[in-house]
Amino acid sequence: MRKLKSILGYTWAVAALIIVLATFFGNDYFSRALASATGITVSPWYSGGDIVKVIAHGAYKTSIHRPVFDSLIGQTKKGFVQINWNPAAGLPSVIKEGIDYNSDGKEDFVVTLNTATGETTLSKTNPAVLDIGKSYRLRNGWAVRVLLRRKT
Amino acid sequence: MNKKIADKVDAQTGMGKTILLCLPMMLITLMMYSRGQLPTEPARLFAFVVAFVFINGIFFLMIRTGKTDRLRSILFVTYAVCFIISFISHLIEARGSMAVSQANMIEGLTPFCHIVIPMTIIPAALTKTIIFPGTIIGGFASIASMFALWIGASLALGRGFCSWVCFFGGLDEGFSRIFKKARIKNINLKFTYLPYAVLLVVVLAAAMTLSPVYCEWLCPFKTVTEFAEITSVKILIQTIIFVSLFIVLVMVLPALTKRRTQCSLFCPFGAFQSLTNKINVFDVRVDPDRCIKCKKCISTCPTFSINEETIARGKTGMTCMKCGKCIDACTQKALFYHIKGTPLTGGRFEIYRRLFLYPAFLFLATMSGGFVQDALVKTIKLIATGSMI
Repeated sequence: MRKLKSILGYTWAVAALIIVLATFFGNDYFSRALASATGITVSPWYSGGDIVKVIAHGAYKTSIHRPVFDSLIGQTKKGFVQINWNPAAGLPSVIKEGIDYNSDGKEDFVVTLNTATGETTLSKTNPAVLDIGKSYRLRNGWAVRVLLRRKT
Repeated sequence: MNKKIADKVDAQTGMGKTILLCLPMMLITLMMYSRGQLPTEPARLFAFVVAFVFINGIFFLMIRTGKTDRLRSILFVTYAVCFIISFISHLIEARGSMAVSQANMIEGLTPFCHIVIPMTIIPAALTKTIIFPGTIIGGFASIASMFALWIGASLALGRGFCSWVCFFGGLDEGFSRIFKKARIKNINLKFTYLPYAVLLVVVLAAAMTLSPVYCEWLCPFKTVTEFAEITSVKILIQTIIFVSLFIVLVMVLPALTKRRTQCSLFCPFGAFQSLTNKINVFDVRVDPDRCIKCKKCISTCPTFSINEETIARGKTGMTCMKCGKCIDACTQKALFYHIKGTPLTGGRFEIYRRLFLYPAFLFLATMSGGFVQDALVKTIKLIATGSMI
């Protein structure tokens, strides 16, 4: 038993070196395998969540993300919906666009964005829309977050 | 252990044997650093040669002299300094500032850091998302690649991660070596439970808020890497807190106590990583028969991992980072690296040590190599052009 434990110990010690080599040489493979096996994504509170609708406007397009109310268990009362406009080169100086974030066929709010200053205004028609959040100048466009209340 | 064996341990390894033992490390680091092709740009070639010689020189001396900690520390501190130079210069190159904006977070441009790992586990299990504004795959320090690195390091080294892999650990280690003697000697050991309390609080708070609470509010290393752009009073308060923690825990206390206070008294990742020592094959053992109770190991351990109780049990505590400081400090050779399951007697301690050194040093060499080279190139650029960017 003592000898077996000793052999196992030495084997594991040598395996540690192989693990280190595999960690570095196979980092790309292992990270891809880990990501696909777990299906993990970045929290929508950072990424804005999945894009559910893309509207083309010729020189630029509008991407509407899904509303984010995610919490550890269930949903939060307050959340947001993120709207992106890109590419930066095709954006007009002022964007004014009506958004139907919940895809019910009715416009929920109209957002305006000054693409030079980042100034925003919001005109809401859906009572679940609370306020305009911040606007963000991205590498290739703009994004705004509109704050929402979850309908119960 | 009889005198003959002790003398054998004391003796230096012969030159030929040392070169032979260093050859695998030289070949692997050559492959890792060059990626099959030597750099053509003179500054990069110079940095490559310097890093290769410096890092392999350290390993050569480790094998030759039988000493671990002081040599490891030289590279570990260099690694931390070079990481900061390289990281900050790249941030300024890419974003124009060390400050990370909300837009950067939305775009997932924040490099992932291993300290976040304990906070991400519960939300990942329940929501299948990672509560960090980075990218899963691709780009610098993506979430999946850092997880893969951490899993590999934990399996190979356990909490040895904190002394051989962590790019921040070298900072408080560096400050802990500024003075020759400790100015503060008596530290209440109850404080060693603090990292577990911090771990519990930040893990629960992160799960409740779905945000990396420690990174936002407490991480002192943001001072020397990246931090949120100050756009509100809340972020201003967060900034004051983490800068203060950096000054106290990473600079002042390590210098005064000669201990790694951030790592051993505060870091939640360190506390979490201690658990991986249980599934790791390497440990540090004490031979109570050889121990003369001089307590030198107790006073030198940078992480408070040895006390009279652990000595009596013949091992170090769960928080041991396997830095080797106690082993080098013991005049009686009562402490030694050990492989679990193998005999505690028989004079194979140098074999155990070498079997630990290969994976541990390879991790340190690979992680540090790129940053040392990059920091050298940036420094050459600074001297030649007046700017690192």
